[in-house]
Amino acid sequence: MLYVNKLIKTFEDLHAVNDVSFQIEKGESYGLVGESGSGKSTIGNMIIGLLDPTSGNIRLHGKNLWKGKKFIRPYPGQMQIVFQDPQSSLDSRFRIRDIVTEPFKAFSRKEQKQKMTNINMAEIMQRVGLHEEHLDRYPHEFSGGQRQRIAIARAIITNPEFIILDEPTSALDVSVQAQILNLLKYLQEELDLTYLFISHDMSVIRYMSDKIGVLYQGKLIEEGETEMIFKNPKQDYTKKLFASLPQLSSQGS
Amino acid sequence: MELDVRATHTELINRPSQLRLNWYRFRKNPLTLIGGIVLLLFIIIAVAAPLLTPYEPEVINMENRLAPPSMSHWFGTDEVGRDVLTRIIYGARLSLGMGITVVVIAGLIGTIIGAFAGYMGGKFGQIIMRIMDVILAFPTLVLAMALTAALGPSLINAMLAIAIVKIPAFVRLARSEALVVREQLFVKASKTFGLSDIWIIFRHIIPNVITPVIIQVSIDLGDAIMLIATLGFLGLGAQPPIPEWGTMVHTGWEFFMEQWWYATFPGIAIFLATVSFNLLGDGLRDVLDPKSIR
Amino acid sequence: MLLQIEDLAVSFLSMYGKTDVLEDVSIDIDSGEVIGIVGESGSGKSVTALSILGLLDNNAQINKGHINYKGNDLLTLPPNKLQLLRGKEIGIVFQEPMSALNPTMKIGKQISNVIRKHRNVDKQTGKQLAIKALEDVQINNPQEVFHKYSFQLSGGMCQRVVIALAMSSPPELLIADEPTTALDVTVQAEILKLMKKLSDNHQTSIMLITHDLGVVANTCDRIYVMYGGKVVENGTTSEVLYHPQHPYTKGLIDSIPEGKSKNHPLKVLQGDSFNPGKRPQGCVFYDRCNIRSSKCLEEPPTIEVNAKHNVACWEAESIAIRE
Repeated sequence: MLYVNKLIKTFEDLHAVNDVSFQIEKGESYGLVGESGSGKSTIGNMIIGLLDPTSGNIRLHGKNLWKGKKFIRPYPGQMQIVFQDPQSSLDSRFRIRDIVTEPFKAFSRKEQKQKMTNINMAEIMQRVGLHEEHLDRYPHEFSGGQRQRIAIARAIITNPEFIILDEPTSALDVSVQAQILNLLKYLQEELDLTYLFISHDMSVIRYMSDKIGVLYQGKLIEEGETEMIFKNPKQDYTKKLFASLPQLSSQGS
Repeated sequence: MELDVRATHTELINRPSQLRLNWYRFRKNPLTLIGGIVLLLFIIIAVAAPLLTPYEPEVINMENRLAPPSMSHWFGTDEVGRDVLTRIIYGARLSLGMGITVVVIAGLIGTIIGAFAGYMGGKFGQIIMRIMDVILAFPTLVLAMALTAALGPSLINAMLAIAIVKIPAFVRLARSEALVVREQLFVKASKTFGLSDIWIIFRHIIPNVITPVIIQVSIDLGDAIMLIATLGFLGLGAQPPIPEWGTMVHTGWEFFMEQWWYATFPGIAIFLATVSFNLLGDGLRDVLDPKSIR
Repeated sequence: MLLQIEDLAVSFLSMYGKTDVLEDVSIDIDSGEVIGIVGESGSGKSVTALSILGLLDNNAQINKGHINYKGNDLLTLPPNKLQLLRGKEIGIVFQEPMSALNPTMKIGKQISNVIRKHRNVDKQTGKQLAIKALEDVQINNPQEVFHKYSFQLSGGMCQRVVIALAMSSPPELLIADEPTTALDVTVQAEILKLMKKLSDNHQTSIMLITHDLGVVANTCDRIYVMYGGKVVENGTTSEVLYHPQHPYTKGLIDSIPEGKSKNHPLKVLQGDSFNPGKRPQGCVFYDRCNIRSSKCLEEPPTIEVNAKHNVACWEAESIAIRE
């Protein structure tokens, strides 16, 4: 479904992303794991159209997303992104209703009207574990976890087939993180979604992804089925990465 | 056991209303309160002008010229027998009205230009900022004088000149704020939805830069009133017989040695209006932008 | 006992009134011991650290309690004496290493200044000791780093420098508040190992404050689990992590995705992170607890599970009695 081919992004003389290729099948959850500066978020930004690639191409259903510096947007709302920081991803001056329906504003007036009448806001809110009454509130009345649910509601409202999750739980407490991870898994099944899950947290990525790609200094150094890689990492860096993961459950419980 | 993965705490965070918070901060500063009260009086006076005085501001009464303050003319009369208090009262309408109009217009235009310059960045932003730098390079008063002199002395031209010299400060302010807002994730999210730059600027950028602009507007109001009066005093602003404070001080000046009241009372009016706007502006900044309190 | 916090209660005052942030917190550290204080946002773990250091904000009010350090109560110690203790006997490492260093002064100078202040040595010796301190935190090229500025170093390097600064006297107690949260995992593991090694070499006690159970698992001798300004469970690391008694500790461990089957949803703690504005009556965990009963509307007692393990929960008591 999504092909990333020989993707390169350079900032001045820094190779942020260096010759990265991978593909994501429909319904799959693909995890990109790496530490700071590995280029994982840069790749996400290039797929969603926020950053133009220096070279290489990205194809969705065989169609190129970038022509030079121009982003050829697929049908609006087909791809969505959920960012890390729920404090800054919601405009504090908007009501929740306006935040969640903002993606519709990209459609023509006629389509907008049609979509607004067809959509069942109560159902969307319920899907992410919130209530319809919350629609008339402002973001500052919600906790971090609730805000992230609002961001997720905004992402699923367009019936996307592909969602980029860019460290969606890194800013949350562990107990709240677990709720959001469960929610994301539930939505994936319910709505037949394809995920690109970007994270620095090995345990989260292992729990969430079917396949993973390990990024190191802009290069994709290892890729494959999640369990295969976790059980039998080939590259030294991957081994080191797994070894650094604090072990909690190893001794029982 | 089946877990409901959507289960969540749906209670909202109980935060006190912003209004209460603002009022609390406002109250803590007595000077702001004084500024606010004086301004409120000025506004009431301006609105209710005809009810407050039995005289007309522009009707000449040569028999009673340059009369000292008395029970019938509290602030005395001028060289053609008009009641000075009446003229000050009507002058409040003019000064306040003009000041507010000019600064609000400058703020509005400046914010829009600044938001575009900040959000778009690049060459477009650079060119705009260089133009603003050129305007800012001149002292405001000198530039306003030059502009009115070139356009011809009149009230409208004075307003135009003041608006032009006031715009760059707003552009700078709005741009620097827009540079911050543009990096916020909600702006990036909007871009990923395919929303146009214009939509993003008007719905996301401008609403989020408006608070500091409002503070700046309230601080600049006092300054604008001062500028209007100054241009009037120099003979470049409102022309007689319009009851404008600066113009009144200008004509009153000739008689100052013998008839001190003519120039003094409009001068006090200018002083009070300017100071109270400044106090209110400072207070408003503390209320709306608590980071600035030290 | 090196440090003993007894029944510490702290509130923050604001225009909305008084908010309790710590309630009856008791923590103690032996010399040479590494303890972990684990909690999520709103748990009061950082406030505890700041109370020890006397660095609470002006709006904080200490309601009761003592912090005994070598026979002195730090809460009543005059500020200048506390200042003397800080840095010399009690070292601090914060989450953001960059902001702990002065960007306009070379690394070497910052360290040698501190060393000279604490040890009264001349400039030359100060420099040598500073280089030695950089070596001690396993910086490979101390001579080079000595002449650099903080912005020229990576986050991990900066944190090493901060630790070198904190260890320069060396202190009796090192308080590390989320020292690895801003760092990459590979670096995190190295920093934790380093801290543990320094503790062994110098007999320095460490109070490691973190939200991450994984971090304490491999580093600490004992753990205090905090929730809503209270210590809800404490004991040796293995006791608390592998035989947790408090429903919060259990829930927290269950929330970690590590090692969990992909095909099942994670067992979650319901509800949101603790909100100090809405402190429930009785047990602090009442709102989110899945085994609560009417008894829990009253403050639970601290129950000794065994000699090395305490828990503040009514339910745990009934279990203990049944056994």
